[in-house]
Amino acid sequence: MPAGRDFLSFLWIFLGLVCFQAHGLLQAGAEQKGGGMAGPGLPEQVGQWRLEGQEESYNPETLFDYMDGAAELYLAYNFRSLKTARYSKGEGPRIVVELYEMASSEDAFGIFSFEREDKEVGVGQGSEMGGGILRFWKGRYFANLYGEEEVPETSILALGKALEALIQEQGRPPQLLALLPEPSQGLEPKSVRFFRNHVCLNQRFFIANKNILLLGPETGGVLALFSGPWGRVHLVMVQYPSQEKAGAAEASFRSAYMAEAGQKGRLRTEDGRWTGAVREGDIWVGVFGARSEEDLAEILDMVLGRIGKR
Amino acid sequence: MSPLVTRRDFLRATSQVGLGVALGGGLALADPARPGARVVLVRDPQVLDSEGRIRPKVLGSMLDEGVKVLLGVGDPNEAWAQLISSQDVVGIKSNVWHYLPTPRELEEAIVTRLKGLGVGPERISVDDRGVRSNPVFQRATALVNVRPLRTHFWAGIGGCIKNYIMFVPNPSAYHPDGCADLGAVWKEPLVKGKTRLNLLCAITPQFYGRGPHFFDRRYTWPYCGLILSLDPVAADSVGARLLASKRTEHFGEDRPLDVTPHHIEVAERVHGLGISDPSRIQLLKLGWMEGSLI
Repeated sequence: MPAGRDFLSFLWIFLGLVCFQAHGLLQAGAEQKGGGMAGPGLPEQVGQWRLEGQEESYNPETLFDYMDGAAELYLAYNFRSLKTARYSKGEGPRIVVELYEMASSEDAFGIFSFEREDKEVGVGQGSEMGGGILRFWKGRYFANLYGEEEVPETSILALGKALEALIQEQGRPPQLLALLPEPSQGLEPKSVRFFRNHVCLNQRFFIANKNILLLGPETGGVLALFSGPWGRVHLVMVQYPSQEKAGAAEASFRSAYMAEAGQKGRLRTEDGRWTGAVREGDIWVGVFGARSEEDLAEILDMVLGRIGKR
Repeated sequence: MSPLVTRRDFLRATSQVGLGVALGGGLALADPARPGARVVLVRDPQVLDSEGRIRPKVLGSMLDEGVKVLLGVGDPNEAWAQLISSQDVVGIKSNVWHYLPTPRELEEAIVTRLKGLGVGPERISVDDRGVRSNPVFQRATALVNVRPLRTHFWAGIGGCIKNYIMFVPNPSAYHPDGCADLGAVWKEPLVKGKTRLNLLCAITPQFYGRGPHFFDRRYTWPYCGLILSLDPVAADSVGARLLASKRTEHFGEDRPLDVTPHHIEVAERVHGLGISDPSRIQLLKLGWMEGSLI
């Protein structure tokens, strides 16, 4: 691209940033679909992309009107409210911006992590861009931006960065993540997913059709893949609100999934691989798919070592 | 209440599933003594032009060929006449999902054939979200169920069974347990016993869901097919196998559907709506079969 066009692009984005910051101070009225959220607004204009019509807002009761069955995913991560708007350049396809307010930054990270699979693009506290969709999280907020049809990814990215700048707060990812082994120990970072209920866990790693780990809104869990000399295994780690509840979950899992293992807590499954489960205080850990009992013990020891240091 | 099913049950059954799929791909039922279902897959690469637009004439031919073979007759008019009478009031239950709707060309092809049978235009309606208040659907004597084949975030797949969810006033009430009880919708008075044809549009099916509305255009492909059956459960069973096969091909590993589409099996076992077992489904394949996957 010629240098002159580079400069023009920069100028458009700069002017757009000025516009949206002004808009952030002077919030336009939003079309309410069951109540909107306070907090950051949406940019008025970024480069040539101008907000079209009014923002729409949705709450947990009205979210199904916006996205049908997919709303269940957001509700599972303690969704609070949604602001959405379309941006256009006057003609051609539009860009849709969706800004979700979740109950906590853990939930915002969780909904982001649930579908993460593309390259990080440096927006917010974690982001990805692929297939014309930009996703990022920051603070309690999770954002989706995408073209209704093919739109240059640079335009979506510029809009995403403008939106991110309006979100003033920083969030903390789930504490459980700090207990995972390091990438140097075999962790595949993009495989890390935070979940709150068994339906979401099952969608990424099916364990049972019933809630045998007794998951719920007050629990938090992490699913991750590990590669190493032991092959590729799935690690599931769940933190419960109390040791008693973790103990009940441990017993429930053993009874439903590995009754024949008894108190040993490990067994060879029907695929010839090894599954094991342990509990350390309020944290339950399960490892699925180890190649041998020795490998399984090594992985569990590695994880328990991290938990013991918290 | 459904029984407990764990990962270990799937591990145990893996080899049996593989066998079942292999048997289901044949032209004969595994056990002719047991009741089965017939499903027709018809494909033609010419149904899409170079820019991905549907060629209505090709699509119409696919539809006619499919219906002929499904009903085992030599003439498409005769086949349609077996499905619908000129006296019927016909609701065509479509699907308007923004990202992958039932193609307008397919809706029009069906309407044209109904008119050809002598069904007056005032007795034909195409609808999705408004079926409960649509006067034609309210007095319908026959339904044609037509929708695109795709993965669905909460049900595993969006197929023929799920397409009737708009006939109930509270669709989200059917969400528990991965939409297991969707088959119950087919017992609603507006629906029960009226469906004459189930049609899964697999022209550009979606085999993997992602993103805010569970749609990512990278995960559709030009399969150029239609799946037809009198049995919605059998049609969905075949559709689910197709999507699972495409995932395996695309990702290079066995990546199962996000949600086990057990509503298909439950529709048979609990609601008696049709046949889900691949070994009891006679799959008849017509036309272009390169990359058919099933």
